[in-house]
Amino acid sequence: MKVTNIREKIIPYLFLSPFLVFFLVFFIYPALNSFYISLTSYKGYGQAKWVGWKNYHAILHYDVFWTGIRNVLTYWVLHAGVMMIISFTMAFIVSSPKYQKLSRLKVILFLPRVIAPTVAALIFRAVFSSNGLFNTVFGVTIPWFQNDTLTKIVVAIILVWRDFGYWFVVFVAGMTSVNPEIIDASIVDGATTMQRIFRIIIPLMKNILKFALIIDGISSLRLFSIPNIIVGQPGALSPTSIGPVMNLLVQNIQQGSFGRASAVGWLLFIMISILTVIQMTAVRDTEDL
Amino acid sequence: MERNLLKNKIEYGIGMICFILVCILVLAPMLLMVVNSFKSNSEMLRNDSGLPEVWTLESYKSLFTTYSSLVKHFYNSIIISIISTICGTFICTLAAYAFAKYKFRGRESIFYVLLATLMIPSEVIIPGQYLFFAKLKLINTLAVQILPTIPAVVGVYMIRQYMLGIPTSLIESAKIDGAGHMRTFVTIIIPSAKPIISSYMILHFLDVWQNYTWPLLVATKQNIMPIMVSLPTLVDSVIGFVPVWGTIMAGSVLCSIPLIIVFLLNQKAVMESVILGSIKG
Repeated sequence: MKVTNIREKIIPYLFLSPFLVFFLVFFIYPALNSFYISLTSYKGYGQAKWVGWKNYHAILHYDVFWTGIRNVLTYWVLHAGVMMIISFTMAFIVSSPKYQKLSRLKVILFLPRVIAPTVAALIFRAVFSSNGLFNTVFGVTIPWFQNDTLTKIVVAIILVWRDFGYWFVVFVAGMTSVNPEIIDASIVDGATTMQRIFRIIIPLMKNILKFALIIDGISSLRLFSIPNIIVGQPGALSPTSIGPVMNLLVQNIQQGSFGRASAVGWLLFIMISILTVIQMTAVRDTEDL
Repeated sequence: MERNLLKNKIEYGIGMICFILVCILVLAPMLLMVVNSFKSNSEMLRNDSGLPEVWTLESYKSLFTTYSSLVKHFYNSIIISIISTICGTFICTLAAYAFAKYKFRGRESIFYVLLATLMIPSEVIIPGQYLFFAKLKLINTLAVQILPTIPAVVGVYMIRQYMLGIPTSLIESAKIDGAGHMRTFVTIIIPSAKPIISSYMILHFLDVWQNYTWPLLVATKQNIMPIMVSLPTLVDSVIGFVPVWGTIMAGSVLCSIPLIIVFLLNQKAVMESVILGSIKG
């Protein structure tokens, strides 16, 4: 009896163990190791030399890091608002009963997510080349890739194109959770569509919208492939003036400065944590109402 | 009353136009990719946005001749993604089952610690991972591209959420019939959780397939490169090398169309699990 009891007890751990082993070996250990390395000077061979917070100090005093942060922030400002408006509008249209027949077309809006960011960047090179689709259709000659600001706008457009479908799906789910009786009551009371959006749906979906903006901010911090491929120097990274902050991490690894690279990584983590805390408190605030 | 009706009609029309317009904007770049893949490399240099002057399969042919390495890279991507997806989904399902249907000491705390690690973005641990695999002498292998992508907390979370809904009575009756733990898992749990398992597999596959940063660092040798890393290298700005945009677009089609088909066949399940995964925060 005793033996079977113990056997029964370890069963769940047996189910859990393959995942935990993989996770400890390939995630937790490298994570802790990269924190240790960030406090040392290490070239990838020989002995790691303890340097304390020197790497962090160096990164925080390195203007390329701040340019990277500024670029990432620019990408976020350029795309997040526009994207959320499009996602929200589409979700509103699709989830209102008169457009029932559109709901089968929902999937089209999600399709760009299936296209890899790498491929998306390559496709959009043809859209924004000097005689590309955009310039041809609108009859203009905008030199998209000659100017940093314009290139950043192209990156923002790709981000909107690829990601809005994701938030659209999330928002549709959010809207179906809004009590239809409230909507019906407002229609009976003669509320216009605009009033319905701004007075009822947006306040009710405030938490989801905040969540979306911040999660999107976090993914902007992690931006890497699109801004690099869009300027297209293979293997090489895009120039500092448009490079995201991740470039500094990749560059340091390529140059074998693992201490610096890890420090960049953990600084990213700190910024992401701050955003997460902001998101959690923002959501909590509104829950009290 | 009549004015209201008219207003409603206009509103309806505006909504419709917005939706159609957005659909066109979404589809246009993808169509452009397909159209461009039917142009020759030389035509792409003068005409990269119109219809082809000559519809040709030249670019597709070049994938198998001059740029046959791309096919090899495509093949690498498939192997990496399939192995990672099968192993990853399997271990996530096992763990999810333990979390959903067993009571054991540390269940809550282990689960919440796992969820907390979601806050650590995978990029942060890249330096640590790189050194770890360098020590194992696995840089520039297929293994280094597969192993770290296998465990995914999101997978455990999503599958667990679904399994919570499987009635425990189902499991108990299997036990009464004398089924062991593993048999219950294989004959009861996996079939009942099939929808979430298959849609998680698609999400996992997409994730690994689209990976760029990690393979860019650890797969620098031609023979083990995935296609996501090699495709952009054809846009070379080295003097004397003309970018082969036709080939690049044919390659893009090659690595997008299979995913689009798989996604379309499972669209509903995948979009539902996307929602499940997003509300983790």
